[in-house]
Amino acid sequence: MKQMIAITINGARCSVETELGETLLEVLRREGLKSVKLGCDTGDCGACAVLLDGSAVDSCMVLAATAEGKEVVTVEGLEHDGHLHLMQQAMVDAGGVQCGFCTPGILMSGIGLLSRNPDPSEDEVKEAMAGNLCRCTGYVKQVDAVLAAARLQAGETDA
Amino acid sequence: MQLTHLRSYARPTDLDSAVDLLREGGRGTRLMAGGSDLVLSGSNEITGLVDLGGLGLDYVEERDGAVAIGAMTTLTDLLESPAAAAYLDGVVPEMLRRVGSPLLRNVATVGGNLVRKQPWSDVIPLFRALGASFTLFDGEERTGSINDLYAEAAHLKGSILTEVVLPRQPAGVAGAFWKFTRSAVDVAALNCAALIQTENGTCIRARIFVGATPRLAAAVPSAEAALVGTDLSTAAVAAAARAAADDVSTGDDLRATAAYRTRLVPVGVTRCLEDAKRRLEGATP
Repeated sequence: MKQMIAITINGARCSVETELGETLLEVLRREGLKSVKLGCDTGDCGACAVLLDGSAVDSCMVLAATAEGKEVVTVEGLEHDGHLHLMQQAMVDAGGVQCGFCTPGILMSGIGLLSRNPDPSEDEVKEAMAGNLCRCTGYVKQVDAVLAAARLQAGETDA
Repeated sequence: MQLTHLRSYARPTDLDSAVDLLREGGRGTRLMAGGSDLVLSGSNEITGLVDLGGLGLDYVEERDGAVAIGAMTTLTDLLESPAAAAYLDGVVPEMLRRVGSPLLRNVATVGGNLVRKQPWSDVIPLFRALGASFTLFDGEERTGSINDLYAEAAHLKGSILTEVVLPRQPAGVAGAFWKFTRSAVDVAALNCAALIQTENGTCIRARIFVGATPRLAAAVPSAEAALVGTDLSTAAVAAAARAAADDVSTGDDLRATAAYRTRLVPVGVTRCLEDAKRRLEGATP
């Protein structure tokens, strides 16, 4: 059964056609947001993570219908005026990207963390990324990147 | 698509409408809290959903030493709340930090966790040990002890869990939680929660729950009895652990065998009690 839902995706309000039992992951990918990866589809890998009203969630575990009236941010919405989001830049600078499949979810977990906790410890970063599996990097550079992004963000706030 | 048979979805904004929608919906209609568990269930039996997200049931409030938790509060919001941090030396956030990953905790709710009665729930054993109470709405408000929710005759159909309250605890009380998992974000292969109360160095109350056995958490009365009246010495803790090992019935599933779980039970009970003792000593000036 089809249903239209009103949802803000990357800052743009839109009305999206969904099947009632679909997940947010399915709808976002059909809308062309291919940064949202279909990994495990069981909430284990974090490759489908998006920001839903500012919190990082696995979009495979969220029914699209429940996103009605909410705001979704994916990697496609991070770049601003031709500049990478500071979390993206930090990930590039630290060498936290290899095959790239986990990267969108990692970015979302990192951004979700800094919005709640602007000055996380290394352990807090690791905990925030506990739901994101990466088979390439060994995580070290990704953790470094989130910590670097926190410092960048603090610098921006000070300025 | 996960819920292929879903034909109706509603997000009511008041409790009366929610109850009406649930009743009118009939057999295939379910209440939905965070939804993570329901979505992953992929159940063909679900034909209608009543989403509780519009009822304003997401809050954590300190009330005279008690902590009132709206049923729709996410595990993350409870974990980060000052009220939970201040309650019994932060035992609740310590437990929540062990539940899945932040990506799950940002969606999963306290009420959903309690009502779904998944045997590996970490929230259930700790909230039962702490003696939580609940409020249901089925047209009228009903309150009761959380243990009633898990009694065999518990009848929840047609009612909505709205609030859980962790009671104000008297002086000399400490709680603890322990969990064994195969990986950091997996559900428990076994878990244990304890609450002890002492007066002048003597244990006057003990609650011990062991869960994921692989059945839902249950009290271990023999282990509790082994502690009351003692000074919680190492020998008393060992006696409680032995009693639990003898009395907790375990089974096999993909996470562990019954024999392995039976070996885990006394380890969990001991570590929980030692942790609770440390917290008590830390609280004594």
